[in-house]
Amino acid sequence: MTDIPKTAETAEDATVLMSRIAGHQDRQAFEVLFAHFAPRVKAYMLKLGTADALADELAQETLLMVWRKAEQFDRAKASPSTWIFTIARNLRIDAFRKISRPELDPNDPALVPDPEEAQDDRMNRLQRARAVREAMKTLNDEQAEAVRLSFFEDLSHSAIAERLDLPLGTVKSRLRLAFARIRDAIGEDLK
Amino acid sequence: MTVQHHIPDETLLSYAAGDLDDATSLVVAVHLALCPACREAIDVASDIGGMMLEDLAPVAMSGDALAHVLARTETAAAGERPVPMTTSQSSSPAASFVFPEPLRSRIGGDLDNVKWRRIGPGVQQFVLPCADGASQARLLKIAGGQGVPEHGHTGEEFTLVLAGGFSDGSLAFARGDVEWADPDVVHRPVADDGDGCVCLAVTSGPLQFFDIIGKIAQRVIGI
Repeated sequence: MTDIPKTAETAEDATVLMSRIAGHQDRQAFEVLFAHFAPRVKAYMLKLGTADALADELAQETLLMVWRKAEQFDRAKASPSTWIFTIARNLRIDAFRKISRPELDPNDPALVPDPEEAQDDRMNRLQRARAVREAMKTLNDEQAEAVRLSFFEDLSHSAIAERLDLPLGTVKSRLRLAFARIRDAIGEDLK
Repeated sequence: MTVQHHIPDETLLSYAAGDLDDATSLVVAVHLALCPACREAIDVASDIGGMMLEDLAPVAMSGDALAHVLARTETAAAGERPVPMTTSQSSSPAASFVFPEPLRSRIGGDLDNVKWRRIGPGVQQFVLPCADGASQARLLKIAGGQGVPEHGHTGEEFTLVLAGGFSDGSLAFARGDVEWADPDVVHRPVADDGDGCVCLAVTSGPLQFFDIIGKIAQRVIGI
């Protein structure tokens, strides 16, 4: 049996832990993953204004979902932190809405499939996550702030505009430029 | 055919961040089902979220949190897994659904199951249930050659083609394409001749009609 990583600090170790959980229902691997991610998911919930007890509960739910859906992770085309982020985000939204967040179903027969070449050329998901991290450093302060407000303050474009006392168009163009810069940097020709 | 008109990048980013209201999230998710290019973009945007999560200063969990979760993994009921909605309540064979997920689940069926309501000459609509009142989502079925009266917007409008197509000025929209309009845009979409068009339209503010017929229609049908 291979050694279980002691932490989930690197995406590579977190990926190993995920595959241990998916393949072997490995509780020890889960404990390591929990120790790293649950306190960060809780911090995310708190940042978005969730009360402490609920933030704790939603972080628990998120990690429980990680356990239950571990075998879906491989197909998620994402690094572990990205995948866990999307689970946390959806659980938070669903906790406050009566109808669950609209998400595509990757198994839907009506889904238009990815082109074959895109699947082959697709950047390794860990490489892509690293490239995104590097690209984020190249954003100017205004772009970085608009992105941060989107992810951590749960603000719509118009709410960001109000917060920063800017025209709506300015906020949109900052977000658009930030996103374009990141996508350029990872060398994707998306459209 | 490849989608030509996409969801704006800043809206994709906000979808990934979890900031969009229910109706706008719905139109984005349905576009994603039909547009591999925007799915790639969403994967990148989600990486931003993953990176930011990774960089957050951890906040200690309650003492018994891990034990609680481990106890619950024991009882991991298969029944709690999401059951994919596929053929239920629909007569269409799987491969020929007109509505992709998550639209079918929201309606409880496919195109054949929509309870249309006539709202004007050649125009029928079905208002979708939404989780919040921030934006409204409706299906529109417009007969060939018919148009929505010229209108502007007090907020954003996304119109996603699900079947048939429409044109607006020199631009043509087919299945998967999205026309996005903001308060500065005044337009008059016209459904293609023949079978017309079925669209998912999401508006974040009331439309503003410029002619008297449009204004009357607005009062009567509540667009």
